[in-house]
Amino acid sequence: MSSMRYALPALLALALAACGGEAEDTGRSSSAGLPEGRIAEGETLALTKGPATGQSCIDCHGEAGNAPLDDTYPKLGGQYYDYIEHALVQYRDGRRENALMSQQATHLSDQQIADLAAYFASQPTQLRTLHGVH
Amino acid sequence: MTRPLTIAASLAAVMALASLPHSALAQDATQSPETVATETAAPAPAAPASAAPAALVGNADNGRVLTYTCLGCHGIVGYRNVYPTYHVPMIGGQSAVYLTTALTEYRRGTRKHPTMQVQAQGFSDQDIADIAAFLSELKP
Repeated sequence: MSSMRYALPALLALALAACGGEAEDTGRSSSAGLPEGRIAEGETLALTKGPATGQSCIDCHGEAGNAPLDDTYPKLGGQYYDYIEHALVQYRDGRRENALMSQQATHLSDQQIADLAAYFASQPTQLRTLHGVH
Repeated sequence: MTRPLTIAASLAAVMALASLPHSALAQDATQSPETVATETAAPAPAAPASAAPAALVGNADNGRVLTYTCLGCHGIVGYRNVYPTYHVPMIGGQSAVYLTTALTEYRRGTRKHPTMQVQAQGFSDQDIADIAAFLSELKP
């Protein structure tokens, strides 16, 4: 009986520790915390001029994110949605810096970031993993 | 009645400590500054002052050899970064200029990701040009 007496608190402690660790590790930076992305809303937003730069995503990254105006801009079409989310969150929160993107991302909400990521991820891609390239 | 609670509290503390090594797996700059500082400070960077070094002609054949080290993450379809969790990006097919900028920024520490910063420390300007040449020529 005495072992049972300690088993419950021990289990509780385990559960609490597990939850606490998870929350601290992911925090606000995790794309996992963003709402579900909506492709149609993302497309509309991708074509809308941003207030900070006067440019839309498509103005620089090209149609469907696949025809960058300049070689310094990445292709976005078909890229993993959660990597795009991560990049935009980092720009917005000042953890990644780029003269244009830092400004462009400043005004984006979590929902808008999720929508943009869903849209670009849904497009045809010119990208690939390195699986089988050697 | 207070005793089991005390035990629970100390257990919670122990478990919290035990969960700390997870942080050591941190793969992103959002983690503790010490982690990043240690990683960036490691080898003496041969970093140039400018973000984009003078355009070198990349050798894709050499880039093919150099990119074997990338496969552990970028060569696995669906592979995820952890803490935070997101898919490691597809980089095959990006432009050579974009890839060169990314690797140069990681090497300088102006773009942050512990693993990528360490990887980039080992690359010369020519290595980066070679890697960029090989990766940019890949097709889906």
